[in-house]
Amino acid sequence: MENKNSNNSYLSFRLGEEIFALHVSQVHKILEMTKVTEVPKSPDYMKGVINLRGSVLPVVDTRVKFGMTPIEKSKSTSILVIEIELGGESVMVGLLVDAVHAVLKLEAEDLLPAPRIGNRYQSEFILNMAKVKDKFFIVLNMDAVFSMEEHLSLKELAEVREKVTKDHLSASK
Amino acid sequence: MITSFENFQSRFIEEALDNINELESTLLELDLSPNDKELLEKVFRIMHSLKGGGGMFGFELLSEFSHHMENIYDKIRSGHLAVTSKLLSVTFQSVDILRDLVNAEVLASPEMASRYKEMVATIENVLKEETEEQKSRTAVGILSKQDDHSEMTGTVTWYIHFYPGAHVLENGTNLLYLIDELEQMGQLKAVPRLLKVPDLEALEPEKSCIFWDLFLSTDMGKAAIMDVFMFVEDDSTIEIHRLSQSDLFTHPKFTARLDTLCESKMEIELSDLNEFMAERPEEEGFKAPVVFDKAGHTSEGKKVASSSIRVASDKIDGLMNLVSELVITQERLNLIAARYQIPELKMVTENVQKLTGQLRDNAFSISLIPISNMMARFQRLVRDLSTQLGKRVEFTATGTETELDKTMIESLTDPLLHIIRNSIDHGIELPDVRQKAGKNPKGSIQLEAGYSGANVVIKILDDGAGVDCERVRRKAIEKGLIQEEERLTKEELLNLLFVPGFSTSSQVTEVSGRGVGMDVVKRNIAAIRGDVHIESEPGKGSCISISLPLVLSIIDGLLVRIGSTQYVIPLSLTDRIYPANSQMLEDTFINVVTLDGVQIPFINLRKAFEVAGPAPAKCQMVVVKQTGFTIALSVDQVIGKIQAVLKPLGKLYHHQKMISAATIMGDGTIALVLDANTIAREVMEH
Repeated sequence: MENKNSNNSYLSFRLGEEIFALHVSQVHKILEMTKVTEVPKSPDYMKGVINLRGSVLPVVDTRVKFGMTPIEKSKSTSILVIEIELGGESVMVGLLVDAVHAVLKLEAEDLLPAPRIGNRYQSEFILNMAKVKDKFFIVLNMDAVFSMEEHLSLKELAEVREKVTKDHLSASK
Repeated sequence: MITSFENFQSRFIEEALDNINELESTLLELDLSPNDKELLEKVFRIMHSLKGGGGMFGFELLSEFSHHMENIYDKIRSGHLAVTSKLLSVTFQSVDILRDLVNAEVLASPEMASRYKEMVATIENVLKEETEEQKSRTAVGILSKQDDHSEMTGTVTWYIHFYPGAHVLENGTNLLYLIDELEQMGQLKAVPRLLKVPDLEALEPEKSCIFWDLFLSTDMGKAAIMDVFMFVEDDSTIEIHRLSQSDLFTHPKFTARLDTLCESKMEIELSDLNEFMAERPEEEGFKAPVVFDKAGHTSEGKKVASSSIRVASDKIDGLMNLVSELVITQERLNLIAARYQIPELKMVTENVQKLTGQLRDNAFSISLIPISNMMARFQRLVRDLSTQLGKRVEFTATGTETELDKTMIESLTDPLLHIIRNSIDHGIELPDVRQKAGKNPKGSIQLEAGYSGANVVIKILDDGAGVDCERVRRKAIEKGLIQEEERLTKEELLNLLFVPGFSTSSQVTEVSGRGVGMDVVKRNIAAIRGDVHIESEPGKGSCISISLPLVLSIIDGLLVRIGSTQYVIPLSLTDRIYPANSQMLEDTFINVVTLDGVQIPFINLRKAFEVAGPAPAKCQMVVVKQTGFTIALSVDQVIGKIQAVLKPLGKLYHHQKMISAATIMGDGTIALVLDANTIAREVMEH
């Protein structure tokens, strides 16, 4: 039973004004913001490293990775510890996000495939479009996000989501 | 059930690889003393185990192939064939094939089948050639006469009393295979005996309680019979009696008697068969039986306690992790003890610290293996390559008991192979060239290993032609690596050998020099935090030394602070610490400071790491010394000495070369470990 529950559970989080989701199986932990040790001479989105129960966890400023201004520490700032596949190896990484929202239960019919619209380059990072009460979230493909060193564009991702929402609304009318 | 079989299989593979390695080193010894009977026996024994084990665990090709090899060595063993270098060469090639035959991946590859066939054909050819060639020589009487030759002729009837030890089944031995094997040797009558089988309730299925009376007529001799029992003879009681010098099975009376004996009596007494022995007048009477009873009467368990055990490497990794955790916790305890200044606590802390240190050293020594483990491969390379190139090379190794981390040994093998290959190909001259130069026509390559401070140093010395610096210079100009007018010291010229794309061999040979060469060696060794250094004297030879840190995962370090971040510099590299002031560093035009009257290049780490904020007025210089360079690093403050458990920064920081790892401090914060070598190199290059 538990398996079935976790199979359709998604964790949503906020970056700026945009809401994204990740499958819960990918998320290992949610941590409060703590002191991050900066590693010199690293890409700007690599915020540094923290001590996660005795091992060293790299932390990414997800806002910077998504082409936004660096994160400003607030009460809701969190670190999502997720597991990604990088070059055939599974790697743990901490994502700094503005806020963690909720756990969503999504049925298969609520999950639409990644749209073939907009910049194809951006749609690579979209695993699914999740529909919750006529609203759409992007379920991110984190393996793809970290397989490249460049930044993503939150703006373009948001545009893709708006387009999907619009298309859906006009179709249902 | 399948998993347990797979378990056995993987254990067999491990064992087989060990066996193959042992085979290789035994063959290398045999190469030096081809008449050593003991070595021959060992080779034969290993082949036999491979054959038996291979068949038992489903490696049919391995079994079949070892069988071919076994045939050759059986012939040698029995004196029908002599060890020649040709035979040994084929055997060495076979060793490679044997390795492939236990490797499932290689085994599945399509070219393996043809390679296998080819090799078997080669073996058969060589066997035939050698047999014919040597036959002519045998006539002259070179080969020694076998002492039990008389037994080899004609069919003899044997009575074998085979009483397996209770624990014989635990090794996975199928006793029926042994009986099958006997049956292939001649005519066999096997009489199983169940006298000692206990009641069902008391029966332990894992213990053997059967024994056999076996009657065998064969022309293969006693030694061949003993070989069948090779794997069980330690645990079992085996008696072999010669019943008659002829094949008793041809006598209907004998077989009839056997049948009645089997049915009527519980145990066959030799006396019951006396009449058959007496009936044969050519028999010289009843001979004292040859009893092989190695186990004596202490068949419970193994008698000889082994001096080493085999442990799964993940268990060792687990132990290492625990020790690492303990060291971190220890640092935390130190912090607390220092804060509260309670004498009792301080005493306990110091004691725990001492124990932790000892435990750490002990645990690390477990994962260390001596470099002698690599030697067989080197000797093999020297043998194969020198033969191929028509050179004569003697390879000697000293200090092979020097121990290194297992993972380091693994990443060290290829670079060392490459260096040795280079020495033979480019260094050692052909015998006549050497003779003209007044050298021993036989070149020498020496491997020297030993500890030097916190490092292990491995040197490869050859007495070959050495590196022609002038040729290196011309080549470097040609490749655009240096300018025509540039004047370089000899050391700088030699270091060009490590530059990517540089290869002095004017011709690309099959052996070495495909443009990938010493630069790859350098890179691989740098990856395990080691360093390579070359010295060379034209006409006299070269010496390549590799220096490696002793342990990989816990180091003694100097804790320093730059900005708000703490860094660790490996203590083995630090030489001295000097006070300095930041103004002085800012003002210097070229990055050189004079410390104790010596000019030393320095790196302002605040600048190098782009630390924001004003620099403190006073700072400190840490002088870092390593073979090849001395460099000073400016830091804001030296905090003290710590034991650092190195934790990788992970794949997302793969481009970060100046920092080799991170470590967790007693208070839970993270300090970054500086890679002084890379930092120095970066500075030298800019």
